[in-house]
Amino acid sequence: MHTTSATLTTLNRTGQLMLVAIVALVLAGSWLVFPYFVQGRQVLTDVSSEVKTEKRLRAESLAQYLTQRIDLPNGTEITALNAVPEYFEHSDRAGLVSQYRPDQNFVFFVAETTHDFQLPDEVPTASLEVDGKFYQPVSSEGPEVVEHHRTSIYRFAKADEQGAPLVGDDTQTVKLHLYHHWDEYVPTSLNPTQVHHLTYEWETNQDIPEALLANTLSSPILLFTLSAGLLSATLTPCLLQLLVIYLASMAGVTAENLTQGTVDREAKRRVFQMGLYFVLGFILLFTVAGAIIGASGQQAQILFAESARTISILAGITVILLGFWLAIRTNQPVLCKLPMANFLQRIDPNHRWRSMLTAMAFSLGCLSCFGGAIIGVLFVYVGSLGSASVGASVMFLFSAGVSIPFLLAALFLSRMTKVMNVLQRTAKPIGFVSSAIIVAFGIVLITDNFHVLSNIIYPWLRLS
Amino acid sequence: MRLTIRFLAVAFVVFSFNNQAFAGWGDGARYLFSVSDEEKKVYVVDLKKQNLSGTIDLEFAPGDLVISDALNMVVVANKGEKSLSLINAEDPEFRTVFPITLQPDHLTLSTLDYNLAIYDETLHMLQVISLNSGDVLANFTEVATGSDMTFSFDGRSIFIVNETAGKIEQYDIPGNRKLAELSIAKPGQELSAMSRSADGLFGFVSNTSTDELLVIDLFALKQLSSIPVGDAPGRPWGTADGSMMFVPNAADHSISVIGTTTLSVVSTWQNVPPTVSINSGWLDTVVALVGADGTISLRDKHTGNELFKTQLTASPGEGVVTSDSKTLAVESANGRVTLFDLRSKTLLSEITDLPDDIRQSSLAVSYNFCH
Repeated sequence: MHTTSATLTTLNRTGQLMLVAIVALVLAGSWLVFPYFVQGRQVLTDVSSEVKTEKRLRAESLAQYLTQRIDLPNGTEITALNAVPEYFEHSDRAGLVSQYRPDQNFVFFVAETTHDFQLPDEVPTASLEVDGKFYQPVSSEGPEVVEHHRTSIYRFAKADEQGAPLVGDDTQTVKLHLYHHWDEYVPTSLNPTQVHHLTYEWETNQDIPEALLANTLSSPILLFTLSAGLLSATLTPCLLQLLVIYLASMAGVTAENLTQGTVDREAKRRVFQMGLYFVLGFILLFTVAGAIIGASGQQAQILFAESARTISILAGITVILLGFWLAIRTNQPVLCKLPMANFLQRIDPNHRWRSMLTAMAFSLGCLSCFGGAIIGVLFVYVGSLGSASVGASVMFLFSAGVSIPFLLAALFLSRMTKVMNVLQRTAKPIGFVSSAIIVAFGIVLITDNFHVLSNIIYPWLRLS
Repeated sequence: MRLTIRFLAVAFVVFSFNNQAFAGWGDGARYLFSVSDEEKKVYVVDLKKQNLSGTIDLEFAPGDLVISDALNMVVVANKGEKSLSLINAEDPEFRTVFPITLQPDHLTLSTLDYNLAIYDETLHMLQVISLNSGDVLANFTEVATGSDMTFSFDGRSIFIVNETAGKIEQYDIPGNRKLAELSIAKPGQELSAMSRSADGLFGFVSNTSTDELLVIDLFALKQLSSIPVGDAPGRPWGTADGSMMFVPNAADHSISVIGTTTLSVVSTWQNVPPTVSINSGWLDTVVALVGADGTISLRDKHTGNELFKTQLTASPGEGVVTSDSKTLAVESANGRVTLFDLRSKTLLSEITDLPDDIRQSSLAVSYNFCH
């Protein structure tokens, strides 16, 4: 800071502004080191490997906990899995919840396996026994003519015809009975039509051990790594443009400050506050988006895909209006004569909410383009996030990390008294340029050309 | 103020203009390229306007066709003269002939589109070249097959399923050597090509002789599990998000749906015609089955319920799904490319007036995630 001040003294006005702008750009853009030094895809792959291995082991353990197996003398293995709601949540069958309704039905997956001969035609007959009463399945599904393997699915209603639950307070166990002539195609069988009866039993009050239900992504290190990978692999284009609009806003607000008064401690404090509210804006928006993504998963993906243009247009209009607002506050010709100008001059004198709103609007526009990509990347590398808190944590860590360089830039600018004196003399043109940049970004959002700037910058930065 | 208005007007015009109109056929997600041996042409279909955009004349009978999105390049193999024709997709008049030392019987593009693997069936040689620099990156001899090569996720290795030996062979490109091999079956058993998961962790190979789907850890090159599936399983097809693999079982007309978290069969779809391809679309909620009999069936990924069905009038190719996962484009042997909207589950349009022998429809950027 001291060196910069000394250097500034020897430069003319333009030189001073250029130097400060460059330093501010370097500070605010220091997060760019990530894509160079962190291979985003490799990081995400490493996270994916860890998360998916743990998920698989946990799902296998849970399935094993819920499965019982009976081996017949002829070598046929028959397993029955009691598919409680937690099983659907942690296995690959989450998408079948709406079809099988484990909240309303007992659901059993029965797998038959032979090695030497063909399984009998048709799925086994099944019944459920609760407190000595037998119930027929609501549905039985499975392939009929198979060779060596078959998986059948049985559903039994959890309530009787009167709506009373089958399982009462005194119910100890539920039993699944299976019947089939598994010797049908056994060449050495003396009685191929013999019907085998198998019984599988589960306790009704068994609690699934917590270790089998723990969320893999609760580790802070893993969340941080995921955020870093996301930044490097996916969100750099979004942040590049956020950086430009941030600096434009900073310059404009600083100029606006100085058209209203003197370069005093209060003015400097407002410059830093502006930066703070800007980063709070995008942290808040990204965190909420992360929560939505975590909670709704693929539905969020569909929502982004269907609403992206509408969101982008609305965000763009908001950004344009904010740009005009800045122009009014810096007394640009014509605009300051608009009917609402006096009103706009008076509200939000400290620029906090306008800064926050600018950041939120632009971040929303950014998400309309990148939201789908974020979700896609998260799906590919870690599968469904599974909870709002995990999704929010990932995006909070990402945006909070990026906010640090932005705040450093704001702090730097707020300390540059000499530059602010220069800015006071050039406040109006600075305000015009800032407003124009902000409005231009609004047009970018409306016209769905978000990638244009990235495509221009990327080759120059040697990022791909 | 006048300056302000002028600036805004110029900005609006510049940013409103669809810059893709200047790009020729360089939009990798929009233009479909198909090749005709008889006509010696590449046909370019505009999926946005749903019409035939143009043709690229070739002076030779074409072999394999690949599209590099990263380099905006169409690569066509010229088997007759041991060369590749490298055509600039943005300006097809700008092309170059790249001579090679192998017969380009099979081409496969690497994950990031910069490197190209070329296999010569006569010499059993595999060569990897950089499309960017033209340098030969690696040469491998005594490679059993090259009809189904799979690049690793980082593009540094190539996996080849050697059916004769019952092995997966891994070739290291920077090191120019055979890195490792893994026995996965008894020699001579019928194995499918390998499909890689979207994150590069797993490889999936069907063993048609034992009715199993083999799961390979590609980082460690070890077999993780073998999953019993239906009768005579074919090549597995994966969803773009990597959550599921679909295995068509030719002999019992079923499809085994494999969950990649638990590596087990999630469900089995019955009464399915012999399948040419299984592509996921519309954000992986819809699966498009292309049947050998011309049946196009769109199903819910989770439940398998059929959402739409139609019949093409000629044998179909594998088809391709656009990068926004909304459109399925299927070429068929009566010179048509039929487009389906996977979001609304409807037939969009048919593009006709193409030659009957049209094949290998390719997008530079697609939602296909077979391998």
